[in-house]
Amino acid sequence: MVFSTILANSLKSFKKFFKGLFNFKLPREFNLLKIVFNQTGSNYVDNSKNIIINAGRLRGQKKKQLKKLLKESINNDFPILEYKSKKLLDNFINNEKSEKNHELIVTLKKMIPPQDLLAFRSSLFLREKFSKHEDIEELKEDIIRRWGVRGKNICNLCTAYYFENLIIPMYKSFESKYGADGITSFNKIYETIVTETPFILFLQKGDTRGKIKCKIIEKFKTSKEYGAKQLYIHVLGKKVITEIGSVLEEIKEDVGISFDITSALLINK
Amino acid sequence: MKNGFIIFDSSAKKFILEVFGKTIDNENFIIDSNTRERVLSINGEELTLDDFAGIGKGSLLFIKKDLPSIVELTDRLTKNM
Repeated sequence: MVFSTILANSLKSFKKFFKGLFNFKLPREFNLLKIVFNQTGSNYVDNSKNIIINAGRLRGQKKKQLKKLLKESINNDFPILEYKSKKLLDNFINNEKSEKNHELIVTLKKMIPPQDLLAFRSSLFLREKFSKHEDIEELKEDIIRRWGVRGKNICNLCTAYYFENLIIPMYKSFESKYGADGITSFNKIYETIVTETPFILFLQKGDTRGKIKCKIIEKFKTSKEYGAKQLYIHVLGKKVITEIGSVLEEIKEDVGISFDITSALLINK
Repeated sequence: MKNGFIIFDSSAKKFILEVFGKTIDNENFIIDSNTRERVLSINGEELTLDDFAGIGKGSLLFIKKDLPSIVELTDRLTKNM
């Protein structure tokens, strides 16, 4: 018996609704109960063992019973979700179940503010999707809409593995060397990293040559103010890396830098 | 909160809202049918029909269909696991 069948049977109004429902036989097992609303479709069980109920064609007592079932579901603490959000929820829960991700979240919980942790967990989910070459634009927009530039930076830092490779080791090092004072220092540096990413530049795929040039010069200024000796530039695509190399070549004497574009191209292979 | 088993598609959004005494105003925001006040999502935002992702318990919790709201919902669900 599948999990949903057990849940459904815990609601009194569930069987009542299906009893005598015209032209429909309640299956012994099912995954989800899906409510649709139109004037033509009928009730049926689809190939994924989902029961589809068309509320638009229910009348009188049956409509009342469905409403009662929905209310009982909420009262019993089972949320009612739109199909796409339910899918997103289940995918998100599965993603956090992985040992690697779970460990990472537990580690960061004591290091960063709660809202940043939410932004990081959202970004971690996005990173998994990205690694499977799935579309992440909408998810990234959600993160930016909620947490603004800070969210965007956390997302970029997460997708480029800076939490694992920089932030966590830095926290551990500061804590072991200086104790509580070290954590205070870490918090200050962390704040600078997530608000300004002073020594890291994330370029967008569609950035023009002019925009790339402006962003690099601007970031060099910021990184110098913070005393950073290196600037890491992140971007997707070999073509853009070549463009960055050409921009750096053009501005290197003006801003006083040396750079290594070969390693970037090698990493990108 | 527990992970539920009842879902709906976008065609049934208004029906679901109606069951819980809600409707939409002329700007497409979800409102209480009696008081005509706009309802708020988990993080205190007014919610349009398009953004509406579902309902949970907690003197009726309205869920927005973006990733951060789903992450917050996960925390409410896993507290009961």
